Amino acid sequence: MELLDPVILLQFLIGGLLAGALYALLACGLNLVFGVMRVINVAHAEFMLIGAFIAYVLYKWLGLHPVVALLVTVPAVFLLGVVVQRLLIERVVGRPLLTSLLATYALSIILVNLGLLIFASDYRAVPVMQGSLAFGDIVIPKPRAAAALVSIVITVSVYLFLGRTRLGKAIRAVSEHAQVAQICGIDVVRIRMLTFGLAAAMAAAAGVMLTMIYSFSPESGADFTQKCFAIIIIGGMGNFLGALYGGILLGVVESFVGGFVSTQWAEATAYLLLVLVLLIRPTGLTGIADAR
Amino acid sequence: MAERADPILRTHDLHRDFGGVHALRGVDLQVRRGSITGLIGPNGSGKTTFFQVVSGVDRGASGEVWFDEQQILGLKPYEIYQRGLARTFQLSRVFPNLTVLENLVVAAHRHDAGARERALGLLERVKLQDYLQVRGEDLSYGQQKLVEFLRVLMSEPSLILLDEPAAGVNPTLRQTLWEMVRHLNALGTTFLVIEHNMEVIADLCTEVYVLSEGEIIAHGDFAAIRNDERVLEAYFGKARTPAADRGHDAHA
Amino acid sequence: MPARQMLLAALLVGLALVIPQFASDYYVSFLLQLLMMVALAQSWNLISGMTGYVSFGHAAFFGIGAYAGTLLLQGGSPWWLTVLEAGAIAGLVSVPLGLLTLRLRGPYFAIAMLGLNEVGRAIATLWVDVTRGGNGITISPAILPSLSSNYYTMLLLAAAVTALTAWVYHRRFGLELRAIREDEGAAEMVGVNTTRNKLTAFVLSALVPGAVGTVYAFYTSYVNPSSVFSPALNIQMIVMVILGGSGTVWGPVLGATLVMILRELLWANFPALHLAAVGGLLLLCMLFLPGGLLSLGQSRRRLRAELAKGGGSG
Repeated sequence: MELLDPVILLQFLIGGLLAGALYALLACGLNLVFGVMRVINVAHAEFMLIGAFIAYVLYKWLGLHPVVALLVTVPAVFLLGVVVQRLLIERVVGRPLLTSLLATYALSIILVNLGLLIFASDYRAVPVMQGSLAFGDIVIPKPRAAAALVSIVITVSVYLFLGRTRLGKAIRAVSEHAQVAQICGIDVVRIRMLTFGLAAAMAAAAGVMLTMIYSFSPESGADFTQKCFAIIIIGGMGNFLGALYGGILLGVVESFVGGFVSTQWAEATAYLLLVLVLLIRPTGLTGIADAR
Repeated sequence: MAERADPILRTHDLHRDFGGVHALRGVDLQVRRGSITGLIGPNGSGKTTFFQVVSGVDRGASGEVWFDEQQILGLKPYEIYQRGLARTFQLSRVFPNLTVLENLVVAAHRHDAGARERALGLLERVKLQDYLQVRGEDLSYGQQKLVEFLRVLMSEPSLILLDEPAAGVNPTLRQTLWEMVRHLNALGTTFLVIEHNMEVIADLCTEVYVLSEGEIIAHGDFAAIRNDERVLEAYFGKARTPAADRGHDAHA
Repeated sequence: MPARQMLLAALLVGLALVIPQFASDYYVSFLLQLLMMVALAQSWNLISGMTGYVSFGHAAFFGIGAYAGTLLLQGGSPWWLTVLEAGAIAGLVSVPLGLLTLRLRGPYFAIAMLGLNEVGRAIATLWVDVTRGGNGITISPAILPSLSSNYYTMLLLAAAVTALTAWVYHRRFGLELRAIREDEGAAEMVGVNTTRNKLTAFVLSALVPGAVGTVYAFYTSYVNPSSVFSPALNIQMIVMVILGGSGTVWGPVLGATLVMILRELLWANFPALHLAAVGGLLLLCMLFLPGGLLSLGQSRRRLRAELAKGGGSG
């Protein structure tokens, strides 16, 4: 009967929502790139790690708190994303999806191994913001709360940006129909550069917050890549809200599985959910892309 | 050999709804065995959708499709093809990196030992025998459409759905194509042809179905449907039909 | 298959048969690893190169074979039998996997397979009762085959899968696979049973990595999750084929040789650099030469054919 104690259930739920917010931030960026340029960026989690390592280095050298490091990291990785897009990704836009998949897979391998060359495979973390907040019987570790807060702020901002600003609408136009957008005078190449930079920046923000929650190494990307793909397949590729819901769903399910079964099974949740969705509905729960 | 009187293809109450766009609204159609039947109608009337459904590519339709008195709605495209129903595409879908010979041979039945010879023979009919080893993507568009047409002949189907087979092909080869259609028809192959060129329809088809906005609005030989009120209305709009003009005059 | 190629193949096999008589253990080991890479590359080529369904987690079958073979060997089976059995087990596992994932079109299949290797590693780590988890299993030298035996087994596997690829390529089955790669929808429309073809290719492509994994386990006398469910192996399988020329018979052989040479130069001191270089090669290929190195020769041949064709359009 203890397992069904509402307090415990609430604890799992909140823990899941917090984690889910972070996942959602990551997945939304990935989705954005797919929506705008039909490229599946396997290296997305590596941009997250770039953000994490920049924050780590800033902490080690300058003692910067990760939340402060955001101010430096996010623009820096934004620029990196823009450059990577212009030099590499732009060349595979319009080619078959598998081409971009393989190209970004190659990029991820390069980034991971460059990371290993620089930082070796040791696990790092930024041990700030220790302790938890207590709301009655519910305990929330401070870093997770901060991470969730930042994730929500950024995700909502991006959502509003896409919906309300001219630039955001231009991005959505290119995502709907690039050729028509071009005819209407939108600089499609510039939009793609901006979008990729934005997605990379979102990933980096997630990475910065990550440093306070998990310990990570250059090879930590694989797990998150798995989660991201599970999310966008569940939520449907190209669907912003789908990625949001999918991220939260994954976070919550992981939390409950981790609580009721074991943490190891929780890690497998992403893949299991993926398999489940593929079995039942390959186009995801709300998809635009045709999977069959 | 006694001729079978039953239709080779029969659809009943075929509906296809694309989430709001009702592409096919209860299509009832029968293709007589051994005929060359035309399927015409304004753009967007549902002709290609009809082909997609009958050939098994589009599996979201409801209703009945009978081919050779067998229900085929819901079967996979290759199952339908293996039973003897083949179709061509509006835009060429030749395999770009396969050679012309490979393009043809892959369309023959699996254990067909004479596939290579048949391919050669077909290519000679359209004077493309020198292009055996040329890759699909290196052909001109007209050549691709021809090869695609030959491709569906490789399995010797009993019914062929042709979706604007002559579009993009130069006039000389177009003639060859229609001659081949007639020749094969004389040997027993049935054709259902989507065409916009009314001369071809008049010349080639023994009967014609007219599709408009997902419904069959007329059926008969070309001369009969050419003056059909509803057909003219579908193509030219209400205001221009003779009856409307007469009505207009009467009120003047 | 063209006589010239068969001659070359016979020559290479002959060399490979004879070299261990003269060479030191070091060179035999190198060749063993080269043959292993060739076998893996050809296997990956069977599904990903021929059908265009890029299997991202294919190294998982290697890992499955490594563990299966090890356990069977420790269970008392003769080593050569375990190689066959492990391959069969890998093939068996691939059946439900294939049925589940091959229903999806290209990129979705790739994504679904992306985590397979990681899943394999996780299972190997967690199923401690069977696999001894992260500690791995050390095989007693008493039951292990010799370096020589391992070498010749690897040679047999590499030759067999290359021969299989050549055979498939020139038969109806290979033609249907390539048609699927070109345009799966159109292939279905001309009677190609895409489901059965894809599944067959997938299962065939899982058998040899399973067997190869076993031989590798015997060669190193040790298996643990990270070493046999290796992301490094995964990427190298992919790059070897794409670099050499996917969908061809000789492309994987060429690619495997090049990657092995690169490995010899870099791996000992800088494994990360080797992998980064491998990733770099893949990236360059995807950007500039998706057909791999063999396609360079092809374009010249096509150009000549074009010029010879002269005029005559339809």
